Formats: sequence, C-alpha cells, structure tokens
Amino acid sequence: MIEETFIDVVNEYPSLLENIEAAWLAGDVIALKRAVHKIKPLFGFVGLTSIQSQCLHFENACEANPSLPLLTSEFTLLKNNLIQTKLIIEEEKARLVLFNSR
Amino acid sequence: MTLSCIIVEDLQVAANYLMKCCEKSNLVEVKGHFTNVPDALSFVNENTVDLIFLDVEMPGPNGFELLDQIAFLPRIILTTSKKEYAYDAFEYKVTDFLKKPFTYERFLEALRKAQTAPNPPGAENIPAAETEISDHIYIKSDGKLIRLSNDSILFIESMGDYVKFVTADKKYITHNTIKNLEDKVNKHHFLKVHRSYIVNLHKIDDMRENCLFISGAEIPVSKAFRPIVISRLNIL
Repeated sequence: MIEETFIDVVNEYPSLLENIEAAWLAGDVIALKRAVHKIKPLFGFVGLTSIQSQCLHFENACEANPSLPLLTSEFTLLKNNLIQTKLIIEEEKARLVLFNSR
Repeated sequence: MTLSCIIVEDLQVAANYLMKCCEKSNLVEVKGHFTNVPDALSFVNENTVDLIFLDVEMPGPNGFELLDQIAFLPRIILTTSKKEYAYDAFEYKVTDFLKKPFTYERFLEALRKAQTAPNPPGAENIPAAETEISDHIYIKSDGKLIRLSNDSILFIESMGDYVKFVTADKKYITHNTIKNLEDKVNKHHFLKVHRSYIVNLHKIDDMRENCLFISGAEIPVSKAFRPIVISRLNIL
C-alpha cells in the first residue's frame, strides 16, 4: 500500500504543481493560496512534514500579505523546494518499487 | 457486517488511499467516489449508504454543507488535514474524525466505531429536549454551527426546503422546515402564526387585522392561527 501511495503522489504531483505556477503567473493570490493548500496534504502521505509546514507558512503569508511583490522571495523559495521535493518523492518511489520487486 | 460507503474527497491520493484501506479491510464496500459536494449529494439523495468518508475542504461547498443538506444522515467519518475541524465534527455528531494522513490501523479503528455506532437520528438540526428549555438554539448555516439566542430572533420564515432566521442585523438560511422547527423551538418565545412563519412573541410591535409587524416586517397570520395568537398576546 505504501508503494501504491507513493505512485499516486508522483502521478498527482505535476498537475498540483502546475496549478501553483499558473496561479502565480496569473497574479491571483487567492488561487495561489488555494493551490498551495491543495498540494500540502500530499506530503503527509509520504512523510515529508517539513515541506508541509513550509506550505502552511506560505498560505499564512498569502493571507497576511495578499500582494505578489511581497510574496516573491517566499514563493521562489517554496517553488524550488517543491521541485526538489518532487525529485525526492520520485527517488523514494523508485527505491520502493525496486525493493518490492526483489 | 459489511457497510456500504462513499468517499467524498477532492485529493486523488487521499481518495485512492482510502479506497485501498476499504478494500484491504473487507469490511466496507465503496459505492462511489466524488470530488465535490453537489455530486455526492445527488448520489446520496438517490442511493442509501451506511457510511460517508467526508473531506471538509473541497472546491465549492465544504463537507459540513453536505451534512446540512443531506436528507438522510448516515454514519460519517470526517477525513481532514486540519485538527481545527474537530470541534465542528463533535457538534455534527460524526462517528469519527481521521486526521490525514492516517494509518491503516487508525482507519480500522474508525471503521469499527462505524460498525457499532447506531445510525444518527436523521438530519435533525436541533434536539427538542434541549431547545424546549434552552435560551438559545444552534443553527447550521454557511458550514458553521451558529448560536442564536432566542431573544435575537425576530421571526423564522419558510423558503421551501430552507428556512430563514431573521435577527435585527442578519439573516441566516439553513436547511430545515417550519414544520420541523415548530416542535423544537422554545414555546415560551415562539409561536407558529402561518404555515410559513414562526414569530418571536416578545418581538411583535403591533398587530393589524391578519398581519403582525416585527421591526418593519409584515408577517401574515393565518385565520386558523389567529385565535391562538390573540390568546398569547398580553391584551389588557
């Protein structure tokens, strides 16, 4: 079940990440906050709680400063971490698949 | 005992995980998966299920709004990533509350609770025993339970399958009927004066022929209810 969950997360991740990117490009802070909120629970399923906390922190920042210029540095950091996290999950998934196939 | 259930969850990973848990348990049969409340409502209004795994935050109406609108209330297991909803879950008398992500063992525990739990007593909003003696009521509106003191309510108006609670500064619409509320509101304060209206007797400004006036609003009084209304007014 763990392997299947990792596979599901890997499959769903790109579209959720795209939604975040699209909301940022559209300059829509409400949609951005919603998109980050949507990806957040995914990390709980793969045990990556620190990125989950970072998402929550960013959601709070969107609430406190609903203006894109004020969010730029935090968004860049979050986006980079989300991309890095995607790689970590993909690697872990590959390891699990390999382990379970032995 | 195998329970029939549906999953209402917009996050595919979470829904898949739940489906796998259900499958593994052999204790529950998944009848459907819905990513939003309107689709789930359409299904449960035409099909009976024993249990709903219900997420709270979804695009459009949230999970609590489903509970407000559902005609028959099966056992509910809330699945959410926010602990903040625990209080609401308690108020809505859900069977269990699973904070995502949860383990298979925790899922089984919730399922066992659902197996042994009696079916909730319909979609009743207000326990009669409490409201008879209480100075307030709770209504479900906008996905929240809102406390309204009896004194704050001017009147209650029917809107088909919904009712409108009118206070001096706000109106609250909730899924209920005048007929249902009639027996549940505090009878010291409230009286049904028309098939579409329950009024707060303490808020009546004046009465002219077959109408009551409360803070500028004109409330019709049915011929059948008029003698009861007159008897309840403190006429010197």
